Amino acid sequence: MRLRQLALRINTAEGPFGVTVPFGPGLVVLRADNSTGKSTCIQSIIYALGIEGMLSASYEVPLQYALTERLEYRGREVPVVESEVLLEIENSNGAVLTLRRRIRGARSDTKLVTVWNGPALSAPGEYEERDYYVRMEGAAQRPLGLHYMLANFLGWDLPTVNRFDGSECPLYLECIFPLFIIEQKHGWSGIQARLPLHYRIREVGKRATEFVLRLDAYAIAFRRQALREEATRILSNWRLIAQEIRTLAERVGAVVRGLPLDVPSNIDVLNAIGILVPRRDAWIPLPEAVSEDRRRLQELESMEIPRVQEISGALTEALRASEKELATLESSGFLLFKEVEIEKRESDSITERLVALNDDLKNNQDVLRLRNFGSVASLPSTLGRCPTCDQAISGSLLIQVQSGTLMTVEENIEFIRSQSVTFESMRRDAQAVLDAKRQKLRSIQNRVEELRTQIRTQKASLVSDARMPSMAAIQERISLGNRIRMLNDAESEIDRLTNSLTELQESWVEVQQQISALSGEELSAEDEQKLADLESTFKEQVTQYGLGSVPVGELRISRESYRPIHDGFDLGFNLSASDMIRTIWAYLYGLLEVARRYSTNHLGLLILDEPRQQETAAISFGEFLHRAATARDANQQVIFATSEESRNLKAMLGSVPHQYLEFEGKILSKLE
Amino acid sequence: MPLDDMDLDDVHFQFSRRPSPLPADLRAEWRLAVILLILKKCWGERATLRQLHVLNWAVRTAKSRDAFIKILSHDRRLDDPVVRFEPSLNRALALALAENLLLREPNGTIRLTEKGSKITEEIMRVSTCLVGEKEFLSRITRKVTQRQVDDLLSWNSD
Repeated sequence: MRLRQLALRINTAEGPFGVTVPFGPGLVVLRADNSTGKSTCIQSIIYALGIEGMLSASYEVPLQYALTERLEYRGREVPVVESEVLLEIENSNGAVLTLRRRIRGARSDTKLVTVWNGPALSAPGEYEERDYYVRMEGAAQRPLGLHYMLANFLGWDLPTVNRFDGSECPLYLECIFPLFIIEQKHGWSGIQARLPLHYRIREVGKRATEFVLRLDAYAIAFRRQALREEATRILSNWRLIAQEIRTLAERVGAVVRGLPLDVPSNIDVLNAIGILVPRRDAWIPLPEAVSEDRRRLQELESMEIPRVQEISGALTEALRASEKELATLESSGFLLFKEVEIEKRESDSITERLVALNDDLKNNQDVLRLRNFGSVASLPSTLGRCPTCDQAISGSLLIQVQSGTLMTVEENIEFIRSQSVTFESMRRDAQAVLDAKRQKLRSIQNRVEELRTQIRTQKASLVSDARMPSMAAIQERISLGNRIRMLNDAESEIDRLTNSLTELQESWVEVQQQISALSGEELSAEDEQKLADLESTFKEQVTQYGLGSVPVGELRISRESYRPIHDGFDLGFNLSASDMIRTIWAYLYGLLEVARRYSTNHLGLLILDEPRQQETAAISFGEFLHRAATARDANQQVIFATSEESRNLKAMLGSVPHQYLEFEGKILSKLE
Repeated sequence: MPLDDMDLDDVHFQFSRRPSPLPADLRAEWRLAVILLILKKCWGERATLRQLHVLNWAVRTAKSRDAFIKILSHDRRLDDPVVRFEPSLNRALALALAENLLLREPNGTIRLTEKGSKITEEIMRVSTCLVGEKEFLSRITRKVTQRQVDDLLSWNSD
């Protein structure tokens, strides 16, 4: 994209004011004295594009007083009645759009931008006209959003990025443009200094650079992220289904063995899952229990229901046996109940111990951190000396007469960690014991219920008419039938769920394979070439511009953050103000140069509003301007706004091809 | 192999003393830092010994922290834990006084010196350090009064 023309129009009671600035291709130097409106021009470009969100999260119009309230004219202040900015832009296919955004006025809605499909500024005429909205939800996602339309116009396919809250959003234009437009106020404090953080996008600077250089890295990272999310989804489904199986089993008094908490990498684990039902002091597999019950029912059904008188002897015997079993079960149930309580206390005390260990660990880590503070570390008592008499003390607040030495903090941390590991496994163990005992208790309670019913019917049979069919025999058949039905239902339901587990396990293995296939691959071969190219042009430029703070040979472009680094750290903190400016220049212009040799999403446009005077005293723009002049051959545009003395500037520019725009006095002037 | 079966005649036993562990809250650095944070929280950066003992007890565990906050909001119940006096606090205070981080005023109250105040601010600035303790102290919104302290120590319970 390149700018073709900018126009500011202001209506006042004194008549119209304004300015029209034509921009040619290649290097454009815009010279005006300080505080004459040079920065206003740059800011109104930002405003016209609706990307002032890159400056701040505020919805205030970020423009000078002269455009919003009143402007100075012949020593008087003239109130602004109406004002607007118009901007004509051209994309790489030569298509032209003209944008108009109102700044102030009765009809002004600053959230609407009027767009003409043609050069309405430089060649006024009839063009298709349409209103788009900005700075509202959907401005980058809906067809009538300005940024949605602009992204299309620029041939950009905005990537979807992650926010800190886990939601997704497009990479907004406001996040990308800080690599193309450097404004004066804050733009020079670092690379992408005006990066908007208020959109709460994760690693937004990295994402923007990735997008501008069109690196495959993002696609790779995005794919990995998607796979991880998929894995998490599978795992949580697995746990849900596993829990469902356990609940189902519990409801029929069964326990589940060998069902892992996490998705296993081996499918065989699933075949080893056992659903066990208690029968006569032992746990037997569910299918076995069902067929046993069926055999018994068949046996019973093959016999005629006995009359009470025929079986009264056997019935009395059976009643006695039932009562005996009940008594035994009740007493062992009571004992088990006490055991469960004891186990629970055991488990609680282990948990408590773990909490205490964790507290101590945190405190120890704090001690380590405190030792890193200069002032705390230099206190005699932390160095093991008495602050009064300078004799050795132990650093412990316990009584000083101690035999033997103390562990160092590091040793202590290790010691606590190993204890935590032990207690953690104790806790798991205790939990397993507790679960098993609870399960056993539950099955005893179920059996007790059953026995009570049995005893009741047995007693009732014995006192009933001797010629009647035995109620106990009938009851046995009914409850057996019920139990079979219940177990059957549970079994088929568990089978169905186990099948879903099998499916989950299969997709889990697949996802894990894909993740490991991606691992180690951060950048594609072409990414690596682009970054190497950026690195070499960056180093070449900073040498040319005279970077002095750090040895150029030690600079690299980080393959992690894509920013210049020195000794593994972001370049910036250790730079002088003028070297910071050289670095930003070299980096941003480097991106432009890389865009000449590789396919990228770079606009081919760089707008720089020169840093304030005091910071630039030591810098010569000459070298930079010479290099920037080559933009023209590459069909790119570099706009440089400066207040450098006209004479100096002309000397610096010499014979390099450029467009020179000079403003005398205020840029916003009265229009005739 | 059972012990009895071993031929013990040739074995030389050697016992060496291992360093013993020490809870971190008994280390001088930790306690000094916490005392400084506590005093910073107190009105005029000064407190009586009893106040210090109570806050020193309160700051230590999640349970005591919650209990203390509850007591401050008059939500006291009979089963609230008992405040413990720790001799180690006195030792820590002695160290801090000797380090010139604290000053004992004529009436016995203890206050932060300029040096102590500066170190405290340094500790406050590092957000990863003493997180739980700082969080607890920030939950105490009102000034802790002598009366509340006495209540807590049940010195005037009747």
